[in-house]
Amino acid sequence: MPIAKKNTARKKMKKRPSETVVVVESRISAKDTLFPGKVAKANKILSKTKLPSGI
Amino acid sequence: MTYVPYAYKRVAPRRFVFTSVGRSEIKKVVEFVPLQAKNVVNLGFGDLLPDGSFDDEANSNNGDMLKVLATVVYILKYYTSQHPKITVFFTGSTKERTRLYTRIIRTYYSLFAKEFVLYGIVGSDKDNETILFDAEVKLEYLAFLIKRIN
Repeated sequence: MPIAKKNTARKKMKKRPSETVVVVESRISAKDTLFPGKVAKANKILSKTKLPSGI
Repeated sequence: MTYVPYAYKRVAPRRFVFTSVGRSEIKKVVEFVPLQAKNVVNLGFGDLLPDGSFDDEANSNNGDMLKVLATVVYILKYYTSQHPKITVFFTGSTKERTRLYTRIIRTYYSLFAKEFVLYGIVGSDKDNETILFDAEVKLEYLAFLIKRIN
């Protein structure tokens, strides 16, 4: 086989770089809640409240 | 509280469930969710409805209110024993509900005070104040903060 043809054949056989698949798992946020209204109310009250020392 | 609590189950790190057995069987959920203030968590409490949603304003009228609240207190004790540095915030879903909780706390305060420091939040929409809860003084509270005595 002529050298030029051999090289072409080798190039064809060369592996393509593998693709990396990144799987992103969805995570439940620590602040996820069954009672979002209550949490919003709590944050609203606390935002206007000076907490005592020790808390 | 001297009531025997319902058996409860921890279904997630911050979530507990139990079943109220009165006129009917109602599944209840208790949840502790971190708030914006450091080391403060909200105590959320409500009913699991037949469609799978939750209702924290339900007036289930199941005839076992004190036993249900005793169970919530037991869960609170357990959770704060696991996380002694946290402070638990709670309030009623309505003014009437918060008044009801105030009356119950006043009744059982001497028992409660052995394990917890209790603060009441009073004030208006603009500016609130935190004061040590006093069972002898009748005030209108917006919410409560509870911290385990270490």
